[in-house]
Amino acid sequence: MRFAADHDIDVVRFERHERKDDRTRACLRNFEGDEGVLYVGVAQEKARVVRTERRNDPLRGPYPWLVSSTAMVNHYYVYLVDDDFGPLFIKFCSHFPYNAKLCINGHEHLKRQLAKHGAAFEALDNGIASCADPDLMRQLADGLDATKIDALLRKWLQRLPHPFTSADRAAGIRCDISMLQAEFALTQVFDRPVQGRVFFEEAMRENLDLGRPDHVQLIFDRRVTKRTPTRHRTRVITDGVIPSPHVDCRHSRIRSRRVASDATTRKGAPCARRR
Amino acid sequence: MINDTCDFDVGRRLKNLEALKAIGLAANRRLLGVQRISHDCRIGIERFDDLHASRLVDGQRASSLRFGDPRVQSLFAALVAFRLLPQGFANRDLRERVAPLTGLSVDDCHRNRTTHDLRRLRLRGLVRRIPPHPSLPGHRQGHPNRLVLPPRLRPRHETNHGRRLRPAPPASLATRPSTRRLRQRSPSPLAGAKPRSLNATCP
Repeated sequence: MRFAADHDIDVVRFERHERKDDRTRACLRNFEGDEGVLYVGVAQEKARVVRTERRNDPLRGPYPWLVSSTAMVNHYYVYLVDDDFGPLFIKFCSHFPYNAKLCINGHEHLKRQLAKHGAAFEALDNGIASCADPDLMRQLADGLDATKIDALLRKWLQRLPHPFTSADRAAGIRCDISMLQAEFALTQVFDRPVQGRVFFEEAMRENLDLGRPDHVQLIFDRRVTKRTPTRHRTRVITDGVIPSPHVDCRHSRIRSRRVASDATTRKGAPCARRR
Repeated sequence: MINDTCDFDVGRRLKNLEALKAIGLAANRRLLGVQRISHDCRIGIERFDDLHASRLVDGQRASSLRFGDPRVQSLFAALVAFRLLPQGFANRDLRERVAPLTGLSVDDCHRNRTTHDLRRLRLRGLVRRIPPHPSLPGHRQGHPNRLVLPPRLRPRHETNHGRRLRPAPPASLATRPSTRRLRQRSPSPLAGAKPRSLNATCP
Protein backbone atom coordinates (compact mmCIF):
# COMPACT_ATOMS: atom_id res chain seq x y z
CA MET A 1 0.00 0.00 0.00
CA ARG A 2 2.88 2.30 0.82
CA PHE A 3 4.40 1.53 -2.57
CA ALA A 4 1.14 2.48 -4.29
CA ALA A 5 0.89 5.73 -2.33
CA ASP A 6 4.51 6.65 -3.07
CA HIS A 7 4.11 6.09 -6.81
CA ASP A 8 0.59 7.45 -7.10
CA ILE A 9 -0.88 4.12 -8.22
CA ASP A 10 -4.56 3.34 -7.89
CA VAL A 11 -5.49 0.62 -5.41
CA VAL A 12 -8.71 -1.22 -6.19
CA ARG A 13 -10.51 -3.72 -4.00
CA PHE A 14 -12.08 -6.29 -6.28
CA GLU A 15 -15.74 -7.04 -5.72
CA ARG A 16 -17.00 -10.57 -5.46
CA HIS A 17 -17.24 -12.20 -8.93
CA GLU A 18 -15.84 -9.09 -10.56
CA ARG A 19 -14.11 -9.76 -13.87
CA LYS A 20 -10.60 -8.49 -13.40
CA ASP A 21 -9.89 -8.58 -17.12
CA ASP A 22 -12.63 -6.07 -17.84
CA ARG A 23 -11.22 -3.57 -15.39
CA THR A 24 -7.71 -4.10 -16.70
CA ARG A 25 -8.87 -3.60 -20.28
CA ALA A 26 -10.42 -0.28 -19.32
CA CYS A 27 -7.19 0.81 -17.60
CA LEU A 28 -5.12 -0.27 -20.61
CA ARG A 29 -7.06 2.04 -22.87
CA ASN A 30 -6.01 5.01 -20.78
CA PHE A 31 -2.43 3.88 -20.28
CA GLU A 32 0.31 5.90 -21.94
CA GLY A 33 3.95 4.98 -22.15
CA ASP A 34 5.95 1.86 -22.90
CA GLU A 35 5.78 0.19 -19.52
CA GLY A 36 4.70 0.73 -15.95
CA VAL A 37 2.21 -0.26 -13.29
CA LEU A 38 -1.44 0.00 -14.27
CA TYR A 39 -3.00 -0.45 -10.86
CA VAL A 40 -2.95 -2.66 -7.79
CA GLY A 41 -5.95 -4.84 -7.05
CA VAL A 42 -6.74 -6.43 -3.72
CA ALA A 43 -8.82 -9.58 -3.37
CA GLN A 44 -9.37 -12.06 -0.60
CA GLU A 45 -8.78 -15.57 -1.85
CA LYS A 46 -8.15 -19.00 -0.54
CA ALA A 47 -4.46 -19.84 -0.36
CA ARG A 48 -2.22 -22.61 0.82
CA VAL A 49 -0.35 -21.18 3.81
CA VAL A 50 1.98 -22.34 6.54
CA ARG A 51 0.84 -21.74 10.09
CA THR A 52 2.21 -22.39 13.53
CA GLU A 53 0.35 -24.39 16.09
CA ARG A 54 0.99 -25.06 19.73
CA ARG A 55 2.02 -28.57 20.60
CA ASN A 56 2.81 -30.04 23.92
CA ASP A 57 5.63 -32.33 24.88
CA PRO A 58 5.15 -34.03 28.28
CA LEU A 59 8.85 -33.71 29.07
CA ARG A 60 9.83 -30.35 27.55
CA GLY A 61 6.50 -28.55 27.67
CA PRO A 62 4.74 -26.62 24.87
CA TYR A 63 6.52 -25.85 21.60
CA PRO A 64 5.51 -24.30 18.26
CA TRP A 65 5.10 -26.44 15.15
CA LEU A 66 4.70 -25.54 11.48
CA VAL A 67 1.68 -27.00 9.70
CA SER A 68 0.39 -26.57 6.18
CA SER A 69 -3.21 -25.44 5.82
CA THR A 70 -5.47 -23.16 3.81
CA ALA A 71 -6.75 -19.71 4.70
CA MET A 72 -8.61 -16.78 3.16
CA VAL A 73 -5.97 -14.10 2.89
CA ASN A 74 -5.42 -10.88 0.96
CA HIS A 75 -3.79 -11.15 -2.43
CA TYR A 76 -2.30 -8.17 -4.19
CA TYR A 77 -2.61 -8.17 -7.96
CA VAL A 78 -0.09 -5.84 -9.52
CA TYR A 79 -1.15 -5.22 -13.12
CA LEU A 80 1.76 -4.16 -15.31
CA VAL A 81 2.63 -3.28 -18.85
CA ASP A 82 6.04 -4.49 -19.91
CA ASP A 83 7.93 -3.24 -22.90
CA ASP A 84 8.65 -6.77 -24.15
CA PHE A 85 5.72 -8.76 -22.78
CA GLY A 86 2.85 -6.29 -22.92
CA PRO A 87 0.12 -6.57 -20.25
CA LEU A 88 0.75 -9.02 -17.43
CA PHE A 89 0.19 -9.31 -13.71
CA ILE A 90 1.96 -10.58 -10.64
CA LYS A 91 -0.16 -11.78 -7.74
CA PHE A 92 1.40 -11.63 -4.30
CA CYS A 93 0.04 -13.56 -1.37
CA SER A 94 0.21 -11.59 1.87
CA HIS A 95 0.69 -14.62 4.09
CA PHE A 96 3.73 -16.78 4.72
CA PRO A 97 5.37 -18.28 2.61
CA TYR A 98 4.48 -15.27 0.39
CA ASN A 99 3.88 -17.09 -2.85
CA ALA A 100 3.64 -15.02 -5.98
CA LYS A 101 2.18 -15.89 -9.36
CA LEU A 102 3.33 -14.37 -12.61
CA CYS A 103 0.84 -14.56 -15.45
CA ILE A 104 2.02 -13.76 -18.95
CA ASN A 105 0.43 -14.16 -22.35
CA GLY A 106 2.65 -15.40 -25.17
CA HIS A 107 0.40 -13.75 -27.75
CA GLU A 108 0.95 -10.35 -26.16
CA HIS A 109 4.68 -10.96 -26.15
CA LEU A 110 4.52 -11.82 -29.82
CA LYS A 111 2.52 -8.71 -30.65
CA ARG A 112 5.09 -6.54 -28.91
CA GLN A 113 7.98 -8.21 -30.67
CA LEU A 114 6.33 -7.95 -34.09
CA ALA A 115 5.68 -4.26 -33.52
CA LYS A 116 9.31 -3.76 -32.51
CA HIS A 117 10.50 -5.49 -35.68
CA GLY A 118 8.16 -3.42 -37.80
CA ALA A 119 6.25 -6.40 -39.18
CA ALA A 120 2.65 -5.69 -40.18
CA PHE A 121 0.12 -7.95 -38.47
CA GLU A 122 -3.56 -8.12 -37.65
CA ALA A 123 -4.13 -8.68 -33.96
CA LEU A 124 -6.99 -10.52 -32.31
CA ASP A 125 -8.02 -10.23 -28.68
CA ASN A 126 -5.94 -13.26 -27.86
CA GLY A 127 -4.04 -14.19 -30.97
CA ILE A 128 -2.88 -12.99 -34.33
CA ALA A 129 -5.08 -13.29 -37.41
CA SER A 130 -2.42 -12.67 -40.04
CA CYS A 131 1.11 -11.42 -40.39
CA ALA A 132 3.07 -10.06 -43.33
CA ASP A 133 6.14 -12.06 -42.32
CA PRO A 134 5.10 -15.49 -40.99
CA ASP A 135 8.68 -16.76 -40.77
CA LEU A 136 9.66 -13.88 -38.54
CA MET A 137 6.57 -14.47 -36.44
CA ARG A 138 7.45 -18.12 -35.96
CA GLN A 139 11.01 -17.20 -35.07
CA LEU A 140 9.84 -14.65 -32.51
CA ALA A 141 7.30 -17.05 -31.03
CA ASP A 142 9.97 -19.71 -30.61
CA GLY A 143 12.19 -17.09 -28.97
CA LEU A 144 10.04 -16.96 -25.84
CA ASP A 145 12.05 -19.12 -23.48
CA ALA A 146 12.74 -19.68 -19.80
CA THR A 147 15.59 -17.16 -19.70
CA LYS A 148 13.36 -14.31 -20.84
CA ILE A 149 10.60 -15.18 -18.39
CA ASP A 150 13.08 -15.41 -15.54
CA ALA A 151 14.62 -12.06 -16.50
CA LEU A 152 11.15 -10.53 -16.64
CA LEU A 153 10.32 -11.58 -13.11
CA ARG A 154 13.68 -10.45 -11.70
CA LYS A 155 13.29 -7.11 -13.40
CA TRP A 156 9.89 -6.41 -11.85
CA LEU A 157 10.82 -7.80 -8.44
CA GLN A 158 13.53 -5.15 -8.34
CA ARG A 159 10.97 -2.41 -9.01
CA LEU A 160 8.08 -3.74 -6.92
CA PRO A 161 8.13 -4.41 -3.19
CA HIS A 162 9.97 -7.69 -2.79
CA PRO A 163 8.13 -10.35 -0.78
CA PHE A 164 11.28 -11.02 1.21
CA THR A 165 12.96 -8.31 3.22
CA SER A 166 16.61 -7.48 2.69
CA ALA A 167 17.39 -9.28 5.96
CA ASP A 168 15.69 -12.41 4.62
CA ARG A 169 17.65 -12.25 1.42
CA ALA A 170 20.89 -11.64 3.33
CA ALA A 171 20.10 -14.80 5.28
CA GLY A 172 20.04 -16.73 1.98
CA ILE A 173 16.32 -16.95 1.29
CA ARG A 174 15.74 -17.01 -2.45
CA CYS A 175 12.78 -17.38 -4.71
CA ASP A 176 12.59 -19.50 -7.83
CA ILE A 177 10.03 -19.93 -10.59
CA SER A 178 8.00 -23.07 -11.17
CA MET A 179 5.34 -23.61 -13.76
CA LEU A 180 1.90 -23.79 -12.24
CA GLN A 181 -0.11 -23.79 -15.43
CA ALA A 182 0.69 -23.68 -19.12
CA GLU A 183 -1.84 -23.17 -21.87
CA PHE A 184 -1.10 -23.92 -25.51
CA ALA A 185 -3.79 -22.38 -27.64
CA LEU A 186 -4.80 -23.49 -31.08
CA THR A 187 -6.59 -20.52 -32.54
CA GLN A 188 -8.50 -21.21 -35.72
CA VAL A 189 -10.04 -18.31 -37.59
CA PHE A 190 -12.78 -18.84 -40.15
CA ASP A 191 -13.57 -16.47 -42.96
CA ARG A 192 -17.33 -16.99 -42.69
CA PRO A 193 -19.45 -17.57 -39.58
CA VAL A 194 -21.12 -20.58 -41.18
CA GLN A 195 -17.77 -22.30 -41.65
CA GLY A 196 -17.04 -21.89 -37.95
CA ARG A 197 -20.38 -23.36 -37.03
CA VAL A 198 -20.01 -26.33 -39.38
CA PHE A 199 -16.50 -26.99 -38.15
CA PHE A 200 -17.49 -26.81 -34.52
CA GLU A 201 -20.51 -29.05 -34.90
CA GLU A 202 -18.36 -31.64 -36.63
CA ALA A 203 -15.73 -31.29 -33.92
CA MET A 204 -18.43 -31.97 -31.35
CA ARG A 205 -19.47 -35.11 -33.17
CA GLU A 206 -15.91 -36.35 -33.43
CA ASN A 207 -15.08 -35.48 -29.84
CA LEU A 208 -17.98 -37.52 -28.58
CA ASP A 209 -16.05 -40.54 -29.76
CA LEU A 210 -13.22 -39.63 -27.40
CA GLY A 211 -15.16 -41.10 -24.51
CA ARG A 212 -13.49 -44.38 -25.30
CA PRO A 213 -10.14 -44.60 -23.51
CA ASP A 214 -8.27 -45.97 -26.53
CA HIS A 215 -9.14 -42.78 -28.40
CA VAL A 216 -7.72 -40.68 -25.57
CA GLN A 217 -4.53 -42.66 -25.89
CA LEU A 218 -4.26 -41.48 -29.45
CA ILE A 219 -4.05 -37.90 -28.26
CA PHE A 220 -1.86 -38.25 -25.23
CA ASP A 221 0.21 -41.20 -26.32
CA ARG A 222 -0.32 -42.67 -22.90
CA ARG A 223 -1.69 -46.01 -21.93
CA VAL A 224 -4.74 -45.52 -19.77
CA THR A 225 -5.66 -48.49 -17.63
CA LYS A 226 -7.81 -49.01 -14.55
CA ARG A 227 -4.73 -48.44 -12.41
CA THR A 228 -3.80 -45.13 -14.00
CA PRO A 229 -4.24 -42.48 -11.31
CA THR A 230 -6.69 -39.57 -11.58
CA ARG A 231 -9.46 -39.29 -14.08
CA HIS A 232 -9.46 -39.40 -17.85
CA ARG A 233 -12.70 -38.38 -19.37
CA THR A 234 -14.43 -36.60 -22.17
CA ARG A 235 -17.18 -34.17 -21.37
CA VAL A 236 -19.52 -32.15 -23.44
CA ILE A 237 -20.63 -29.14 -21.48
CA THR A 238 -23.47 -27.02 -22.70
CA ASP A 239 -23.00 -23.45 -21.63
CA GLY A 240 -26.20 -21.73 -22.68
CA VAL A 241 -26.60 -22.83 -26.27
CA ILE A 242 -22.93 -23.14 -27.13
CA PRO A 243 -21.56 -26.64 -26.53
CA SER A 244 -17.97 -27.03 -25.45
CA PRO A 245 -16.05 -30.31 -25.55
CA HIS A 246 -13.58 -30.96 -22.75
CA VAL A 247 -11.05 -33.78 -22.68
CA ASP A 248 -9.45 -34.36 -19.29
CA CYS A 249 -6.24 -36.29 -18.79
CA ARG A 250 -5.07 -36.34 -15.21
CA HIS A 251 -4.75 -32.66 -14.24
CA SER A 252 -4.51 -31.43 -17.83
CA ARG A 253 -7.29 -30.57 -20.17
CA ILE A 254 -8.08 -29.92 -23.78
CA ARG A 255 -11.10 -27.75 -24.30
CA SER A 256 -12.57 -26.08 -27.32
CA ARG A 257 -14.72 -23.03 -27.24
CA ARG A 258 -16.04 -20.65 -29.77
CA VAL A 259 -15.30 -17.00 -29.34
CA ALA A 260 -17.39 -14.39 -31.08
CA SER A 261 -15.56 -12.10 -33.41
CA ASP A 262 -17.77 -9.07 -32.88
CA ALA A 263 -20.59 -7.74 -30.76
CA THR A 264 -23.29 -9.21 -33.02
CA THR A 265 -22.05 -12.75 -32.77
CA ARG A 266 -21.60 -12.47 -29.02
CA LYS A 267 -25.34 -12.21 -28.68
CA GLY A 268 -25.90 -15.72 -29.98
CA ALA A 269 -25.50 -15.56 -33.75
CA PRO A 270 -23.14 -18.06 -35.40
CA CYS A 271 -19.59 -17.39 -34.36
CA ALA A 272 -16.64 -17.10 -36.64
CA ARG A 273 -13.80 -18.00 -34.42
CA ARG A 274 -12.91 -21.00 -32.37
CA ARG A 275 -10.15 -21.26 -29.85
CA MET B 1 -4.13 -26.52 -20.59
CA ILE B 2 -1.51 -28.26 -18.47
CA ASN B 3 -2.16 -27.86 -14.78
CA ASP B 4 0.46 -30.26 -13.54
CA THR B 5 3.65 -30.79 -15.49
CA CYS B 6 4.23 -34.08 -13.67
CA ASP B 7 1.37 -35.56 -15.72
CA PHE B 8 3.88 -35.67 -18.55
CA ASP B 9 6.93 -36.64 -16.51
CA VAL B 10 8.29 -33.13 -16.72
CA GLY B 11 9.53 -31.19 -13.70
CA ARG B 12 7.93 -27.95 -12.57
CA ARG B 13 11.08 -25.83 -12.76
CA LEU B 14 11.11 -23.13 -15.39
CA LYS B 15 14.07 -24.72 -17.12
CA ASN B 16 11.65 -27.43 -18.31
CA LEU B 17 9.61 -24.96 -20.30
CA GLU B 18 11.00 -26.16 -23.62
CA ALA B 19 10.01 -29.76 -22.89
CA LEU B 20 6.55 -28.60 -21.90
CA LYS B 21 6.24 -26.51 -25.04
CA ALA B 22 7.12 -29.52 -27.15
CA ILE B 23 4.39 -31.56 -25.45
CA GLY B 24 1.77 -28.84 -25.75
CA LEU B 25 2.51 -28.09 -29.39
CA ALA B 26 2.61 -31.78 -30.27
CA ALA B 27 -0.85 -32.21 -28.71
CA ASN B 28 -2.12 -29.25 -30.70
CA ARG B 29 -0.62 -30.55 -33.92
CA ARG B 30 -2.10 -33.96 -33.37
CA LEU B 31 -5.50 -32.49 -32.60
CA LEU B 32 -5.27 -30.35 -35.72
CA GLY B 33 -4.30 -33.39 -37.76
CA VAL B 34 -7.32 -35.31 -36.54
CA GLN B 35 -9.57 -32.35 -37.22
CA ARG B 36 -8.20 -31.94 -40.72
CA ILE B 37 -8.93 -35.58 -41.46
CA SER B 38 -12.44 -35.24 -40.11
CA HIS B 39 -13.35 -31.87 -41.53
CA ASP B 40 -11.50 -31.53 -44.77
CA CYS B 41 -14.20 -32.60 -47.18
CA ARG B 42 -12.04 -32.39 -50.27
CA ILE B 43 -11.93 -36.09 -50.95
CA GLY B 44 -11.78 -35.28 -54.60
CA ILE B 45 -14.44 -36.35 -57.01
CA GLU B 46 -11.84 -38.17 -59.07
CA ARG B 47 -10.87 -40.41 -56.20
CA PHE B 48 -14.49 -40.98 -55.32
CA ASP B 49 -15.46 -41.81 -58.90
CA ASP B 50 -12.43 -43.99 -59.21
CA LEU B 51 -13.95 -46.39 -56.71
CA HIS B 52 -17.35 -46.34 -58.37
CA ALA B 53 -16.33 -47.15 -61.89
CA SER B 54 -14.66 -50.30 -63.10
CA ARG B 55 -11.18 -49.75 -64.48
CA LEU B 56 -8.38 -51.50 -66.27
CA VAL B 57 -5.16 -52.05 -64.34
CA ASP B 58 -2.28 -53.61 -66.29
CA GLY B 59 -4.75 -55.16 -68.69
CA GLN B 60 -6.87 -56.64 -65.90
CA ARG B 61 -10.38 -55.44 -65.24
CA ALA B 62 -11.09 -54.31 -61.69
CA SER B 63 -14.82 -54.13 -61.02
CA SER B 64 -16.33 -51.16 -59.22
CA LEU B 65 -16.69 -50.68 -55.47
CA ARG B 66 -19.99 -48.85 -55.37
CA PHE B 67 -20.89 -46.57 -52.50
CA GLY B 68 -23.96 -47.91 -50.73
CA ASP B 69 -23.55 -51.46 -51.96
CA PRO B 70 -24.01 -53.60 -48.79
CA ARG B 71 -21.31 -55.97 -49.91
CA VAL B 72 -18.79 -53.14 -50.38
CA GLN B 73 -19.74 -51.50 -47.10
CA SER B 74 -19.29 -54.80 -45.28
CA LEU B 75 -15.96 -55.29 -47.00
CA PHE B 76 -14.66 -51.88 -45.91
CA ALA B 77 -15.97 -52.30 -42.38
CA ALA B 78 -14.25 -55.68 -42.08
CA LEU B 79 -11.03 -54.50 -43.67
CA VAL B 80 -10.48 -51.85 -40.98
CA ALA B 81 -9.88 -54.61 -38.45
CA PHE B 82 -6.76 -55.71 -40.33
CA ARG B 83 -5.11 -52.30 -40.51
CA LEU B 84 -2.43 -52.91 -37.94
CA LEU B 85 -1.61 -56.55 -38.56
CA PRO B 86 2.04 -56.67 -39.63
CA GLN B 87 1.65 -60.17 -41.08
CA GLY B 88 -1.48 -59.35 -43.03
CA PHE B 89 -4.50 -61.60 -43.34
CA ALA B 90 -5.70 -64.49 -45.41
CA ASN B 91 -8.81 -65.11 -47.47
CA ARG B 92 -10.46 -67.01 -44.64
CA ASP B 93 -9.74 -64.23 -42.09
CA LEU B 94 -11.58 -61.75 -44.23
CA ARG B 95 -14.42 -64.16 -44.96
CA GLU B 96 -15.03 -64.73 -41.25
CA ARG B 97 -15.47 -61.01 -40.73
CA VAL B 98 -17.43 -60.17 -43.84
CA ALA B 99 -19.91 -63.03 -43.56
CA PRO B 100 -21.74 -61.85 -40.40
CA LEU B 101 -21.84 -58.29 -41.73
CA THR B 102 -23.65 -59.43 -44.86
CA GLY B 103 -25.98 -61.72 -42.91
CA LEU B 104 -24.43 -64.96 -44.16
CA SER B 105 -22.73 -67.80 -42.38
CA VAL B 106 -19.07 -68.40 -43.10
CA ASP B 107 -19.90 -71.53 -45.08
CA ASP B 108 -22.39 -69.67 -47.27
CA CYS B 109 -19.90 -66.94 -47.98
CA HIS B 110 -17.91 -68.74 -50.64
CA ARG B 111 -14.16 -68.48 -50.95
CA ASN B 112 -14.41 -67.42 -54.60
CA ARG B 113 -16.51 -64.45 -53.65
CA THR B 114 -13.85 -63.24 -51.20
CA THR B 115 -11.18 -63.91 -53.81
CA HIS B 116 -13.05 -61.64 -56.19
CA ASP B 117 -13.26 -58.91 -53.52
CA LEU B 118 -9.58 -59.22 -52.71
CA ARG B 119 -8.70 -59.05 -56.37
CA ARG B 120 -10.49 -55.77 -56.97
CA LEU B 121 -9.02 -54.31 -53.79
CA ARG B 122 -5.55 -55.43 -54.84
CA LEU B 123 -5.80 -54.01 -58.34
CA ARG B 124 -6.83 -50.65 -56.90
CA GLY B 125 -3.88 -50.68 -54.51
CA LEU B 126 -5.98 -50.90 -51.36
CA VAL B 127 -4.27 -54.15 -50.37
CA ARG B 128 -1.13 -55.78 -51.63
CA ARG B 129 0.18 -59.31 -51.67
CA ILE B 130 3.10 -59.98 -49.35
CA PRO B 131 5.70 -62.65 -50.08
CA PRO B 132 4.86 -66.07 -48.59
CA HIS B 133 6.42 -66.77 -45.23
CA PRO B 134 7.39 -70.31 -44.15
CA SER B 135 5.49 -69.99 -40.87
CA LEU B 136 2.32 -68.66 -42.53
CA PRO B 137 0.17 -70.98 -44.62
CA GLY B 138 -1.26 -69.79 -47.93
CA HIS B 139 -1.17 -66.37 -49.50
CA ARG B 140 -1.66 -63.45 -47.18
CA GLN B 141 -2.63 -59.94 -48.10
CA GLY B 142 -0.88 -57.01 -46.47
CA HIS B 143 -1.75 -53.33 -46.66
CA PRO B 144 0.50 -50.85 -48.43
CA ASN B 145 1.91 -48.46 -45.87
CA ARG B 146 -0.22 -50.16 -43.21
CA LEU B 147 -3.34 -48.37 -44.40
CA VAL B 148 -6.44 -49.86 -45.87
CA LEU B 149 -7.75 -46.70 -47.45
CA PRO B 150 -6.38 -43.19 -47.65
CA PRO B 151 -7.26 -41.61 -44.32
CA ARG B 152 -9.41 -38.93 -45.91
CA LEU B 153 -11.48 -41.39 -47.83
CA ARG B 154 -12.03 -44.14 -45.32
CA PRO B 155 -14.04 -42.30 -42.68
CA ARG B 156 -16.12 -40.46 -45.28
CA HIS B 157 -16.97 -43.51 -47.30
CA GLU B 158 -17.89 -45.53 -44.28
CA THR B 159 -19.39 -42.91 -41.99
CA ASN B 160 -21.36 -41.17 -44.72
CA HIS B 161 -23.23 -44.35 -45.30
CA GLY B 162 -23.69 -45.04 -41.60
CA ARG B 163 -24.69 -41.54 -40.57
CA ARG B 164 -26.58 -40.15 -43.49
CA LEU B 165 -28.31 -43.11 -45.07
CA ARG B 166 -28.88 -45.71 -42.40
CA PRO B 167 -30.67 -43.53 -39.81
CA ALA B 168 -33.35 -42.37 -42.28
CA PRO B 169 -36.84 -43.80 -41.64
CA PRO B 170 -38.14 -46.46 -44.02
CA ALA B 171 -40.26 -45.38 -46.97
CA SER B 172 -43.46 -46.58 -45.35
CA LEU B 173 -42.91 -44.20 -42.45
CA ALA B 174 -41.78 -41.34 -44.67
CA THR B 175 -45.06 -41.37 -46.64
CA ARG B 176 -47.21 -41.22 -43.54
CA PRO B 177 -48.80 -37.85 -42.78
CA SER B 178 -46.93 -35.95 -40.12
CA THR B 179 -48.15 -36.05 -36.56
CA ARG B 180 -48.93 -32.37 -36.79
CA ARG B 181 -51.36 -32.96 -39.64
CA LEU B 182 -52.90 -35.89 -37.80
CA ARG B 183 -53.45 -33.67 -34.80
CA GLN B 184 -55.17 -31.04 -36.91
CA ARG B 185 -57.32 -33.59 -38.70
CA SER B 186 -58.70 -35.50 -35.74
CA PRO B 187 -59.21 -34.08 -32.29
CA SER B 188 -57.48 -35.80 -29.41
CA PRO B 189 -59.54 -38.64 -27.93
CA LEU B 190 -58.92 -37.09 -24.53
CA ALA B 191 -60.09 -33.65 -25.61
CA GLY B 192 -63.63 -34.01 -24.41
CA ALA B 193 -63.00 -36.48 -21.61
CA LYS B 194 -63.55 -35.44 -18.07
CA PRO B 195 -60.54 -35.75 -15.80
CA ARG B 196 -60.79 -38.76 -13.58
CA SER B 197 -59.77 -38.55 -10.03
CA LEU B 198 -56.99 -40.70 -8.71
CA ASN B 199 -59.39 -42.54 -6.49
CA ALA B 200 -61.45 -43.55 -9.49
CA THR B 201 -58.53 -45.34 -11.09
CA CYS B 202 -57.62 -47.23 -7.94
CA PRO B 203 -59.60 -50.30 -6.93
